Amino acid sequence: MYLIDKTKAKNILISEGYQEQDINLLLEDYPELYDDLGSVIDIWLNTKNFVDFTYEGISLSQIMNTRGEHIITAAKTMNRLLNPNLSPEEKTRLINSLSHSVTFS
Amino acid sequence: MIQNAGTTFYGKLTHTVFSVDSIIDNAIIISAKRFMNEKFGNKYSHIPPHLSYALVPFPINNLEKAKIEIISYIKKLRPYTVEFSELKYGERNNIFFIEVLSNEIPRLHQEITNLLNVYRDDSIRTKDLERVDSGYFTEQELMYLKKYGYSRVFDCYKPHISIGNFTVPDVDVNELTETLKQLLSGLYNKRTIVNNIHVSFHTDADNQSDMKVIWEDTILLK
Repeated sequence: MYLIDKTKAKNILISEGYQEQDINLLLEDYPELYDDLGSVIDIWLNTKNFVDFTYEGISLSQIMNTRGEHIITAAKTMNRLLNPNLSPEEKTRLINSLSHSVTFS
Repeated sequence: MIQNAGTTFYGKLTHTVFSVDSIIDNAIIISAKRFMNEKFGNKYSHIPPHLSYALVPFPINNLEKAKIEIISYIKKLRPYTVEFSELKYGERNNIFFIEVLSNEIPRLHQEITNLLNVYRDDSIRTKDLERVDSGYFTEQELMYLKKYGYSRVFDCYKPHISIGNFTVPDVDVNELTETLKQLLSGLYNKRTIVNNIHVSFHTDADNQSDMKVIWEDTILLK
């Protein structure tokens, strides 16, 4: 499992203009990420290179678009999908919701 | 594989929700809630009896502006009376609740919903997003969800105080309804004065017990 470097993440998010309160809220209980997903975040934190990651037909970039989430938040969301303890019903529901845009325009 | 060098993202970091309610400190309701917690695994066990007016998802960046406006609005309100009606059961969430009656409640609901909706920035709770394709919502509720970020508003808003739901298997709903009706029998057609408004800004979570409160306040109505 991959443990995010919270200090590094916080510094990057501050430099991107996010509020400290918002950053702390995200990072204080940020989960350990499954390894393949964690390596994507590690690359981004260290180089700012975005390498997309796909699982069960859902990509990290898709989550960022459909939910309007930052890559670090989208990775947290995707991590739920990777959880092997998710029931088939929960997994289907999550995949469906991640396929749709937040603002049903 | 998509690779973009030096990519900066500006999406949301967190999902947060503003809720407004009145705490109803009534011994009969507390006792019935306790019964549901102990015997039937009520998943709302940690929440005191309350009458909810609005639940509006919006980003944390808008909290300070919304806080000033909602407090200013609440400080102009006066205490009002509600009447406890009857016990009802909602099959969708296996939840029991007491209907409450008052002309004030729908007015407060509408005004608070409209006031906070300004700060919503199209946010919708992740829990509701995951329900959209499951047939959980009626067409009317879906329309409200898109417009107000919450399905149970205006025509779909039913003033109530939740008693609790059951999470244990093989429950005889008719029998449990009768037991709860007896436990709550001292309440029907009685009135109480609502003298507070509780506001809370918290994280969005699948389970209410996982929510983290970022800011809350209880304002006494005078």
